[in-house]
Amino acid sequence: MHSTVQRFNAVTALATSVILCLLAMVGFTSFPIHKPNANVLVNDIKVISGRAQWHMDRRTQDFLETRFDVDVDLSSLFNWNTKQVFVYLSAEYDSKDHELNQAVIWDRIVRRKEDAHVVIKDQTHKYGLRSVNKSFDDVNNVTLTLKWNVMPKVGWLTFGDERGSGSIRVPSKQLGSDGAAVKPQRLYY
Amino acid sequence: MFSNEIAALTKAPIRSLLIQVLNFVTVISTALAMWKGLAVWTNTESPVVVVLSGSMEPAFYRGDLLFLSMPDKPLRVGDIPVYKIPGMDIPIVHRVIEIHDEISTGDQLILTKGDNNDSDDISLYQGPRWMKKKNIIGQVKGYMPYVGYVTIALNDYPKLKYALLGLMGLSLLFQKE
Repeated sequence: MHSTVQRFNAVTALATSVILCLLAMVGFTSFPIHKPNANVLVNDIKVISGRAQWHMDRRTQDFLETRFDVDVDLSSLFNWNTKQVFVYLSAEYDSKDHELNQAVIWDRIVRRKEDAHVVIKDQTHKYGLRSVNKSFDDVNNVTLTLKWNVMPKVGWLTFGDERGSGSIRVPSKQLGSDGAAVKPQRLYY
Repeated sequence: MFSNEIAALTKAPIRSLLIQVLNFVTVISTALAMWKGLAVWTNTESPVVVVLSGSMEPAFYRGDLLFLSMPDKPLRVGDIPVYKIPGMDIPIVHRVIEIHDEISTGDQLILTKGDNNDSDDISLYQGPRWMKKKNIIGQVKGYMPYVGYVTIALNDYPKLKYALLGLMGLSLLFQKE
């Protein structure tokens, strides 16, 4: 005869292993296969001297600002194991002291397939684009790349990217009409 | 005149007690060996962590389980590392939003932000503007919901912990084998 505890133990042990096996199968079979097509267009780019109003870094420094369009259809990333897609636009450049700089300037969480077609027009930066040495004088080119991270209901996190804008020339810092440096602007980052 | 019976009585309990102790030690050491083996394989001190805050919602909720490994490549924006701020006990799981690869030192300057937070983590760092490679203790690779909530419940409601311990003790007492 088996005691109640033994029966309970056997049942829960079997249930746990079955559930773990099923979860592993779900995790392994639901990697996103199709790659979405993305379009990133930069309408305007400028370097200004400013001071962030809400950010912890309150130093006066150079900010690179762009206005950009994004058009991406992420619906192919949604399958039955997709919890959300974190889509973000990364600005990438190299400078004198840093061989690669990456900074997220815009992001969005997409939770439903119905919202997966993301169209953004003439968007400004959500996060200020700063440089470690406070200046973009030593930066020649910047590239905006759209990337995404598929977060599953259970299983492995997957990442992907689509090279959006090509390499874009960074202009020199904006000066006043008389050629003198302008007063640092208040920036609402 | 009852020497045989006494011998049998004293002999049997010691043997079964020893076997029980051996079983117990086997279970504990197996679990420890598996945990440490996993830690060696993933190259991180804690290969599995439980989410303790809501700062990465709606991706990670309190009580969800995260599987980590040490990043073998340099971190990039969008990765979700686990980092420890010097002087603070609890590691933080947030997403990288800025990264700068230094040429002179080969180190990385890392800025993170929780998906659910309005601002980035500079205020959490308690002084430094950036996290560096040495602060990183792992990177999130896999995810399983809810499973870790037991540990949070045990921590939040100590009575539950004592009830569970008491129940285990009682079951040991009443077990026949």
